[in-house]
Amino acid sequence: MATVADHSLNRLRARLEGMRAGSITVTGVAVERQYDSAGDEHLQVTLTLSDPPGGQEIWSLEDAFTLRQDVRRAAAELDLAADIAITIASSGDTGTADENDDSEGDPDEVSGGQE
Amino acid sequence: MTARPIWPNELLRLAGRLAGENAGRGKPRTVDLRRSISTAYYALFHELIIQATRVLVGEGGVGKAGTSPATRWFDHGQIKALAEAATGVGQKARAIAPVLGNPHPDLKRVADAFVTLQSARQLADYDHNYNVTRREARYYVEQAREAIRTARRLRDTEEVSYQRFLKLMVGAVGIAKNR
Repeated sequence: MATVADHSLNRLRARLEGMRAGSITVTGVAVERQYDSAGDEHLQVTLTLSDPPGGQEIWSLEDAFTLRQDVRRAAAELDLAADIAITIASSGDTGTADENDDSEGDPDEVSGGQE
Repeated sequence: MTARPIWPNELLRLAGRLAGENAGRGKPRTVDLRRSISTAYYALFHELIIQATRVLVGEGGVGKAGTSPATRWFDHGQIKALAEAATGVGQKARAIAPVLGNPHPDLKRVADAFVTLQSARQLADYDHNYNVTRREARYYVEQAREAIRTARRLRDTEEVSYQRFLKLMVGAVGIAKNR
């Protein structure tokens, strides 16, 4: 299978940067080649999105759908033959997880259950 | 043998809980957010294969909750390839369009949700560098919820392109490649 050329990736990245759909603006784009277990290439497109408006917790489903369709159209117009996986990332989400949490302790210790 | 159906609604509830829905301002653990995304994907996956199995073998061929050995005949990658085509954009769409026909706008949304959730699930389940946030996890859970609602509406209205999509879920893209 032909590999997607670097210049094609760069063109796609440029097309997606700043793209808008309704209340959503793309504030960052990462495009990477990835390979599945069969060795087939696909493009991993990660879109960093502006915060949802008006204190909403998540992005509009409809706007995000429109955005992904626009990404697929942009890739098709660039004749990118590889499959495209589109994922979203948050530019600001402070209430999140355990980024400073190292409480997993000894990775060889199986926790819980009866001793 | 007693059937223990895998209910999509239960998976959705679990996914929401893991994503911290209705849990106030706490900070869900990364492992919970990862499992939330994966579980949201499986909720949609099981909803679609339950519906497709009913189309495939008929109401008489399935037990309570759509259980049938045929539910194991579906392949994640094959459904994803079909769903990519059903978004209506790209080379796969062109290749399968003569069989699938013109997808209903709501089918495009269900198909997009399946493709998106499967990509997110790959990151959540396998990528140690995936820096998941609560907002992303909650978004994916809501996307799965909405896709399941939409799929049921398409089923209940017997929408033609959706019926065709369900029939093609059993490996049609793979068959097409080999012809």
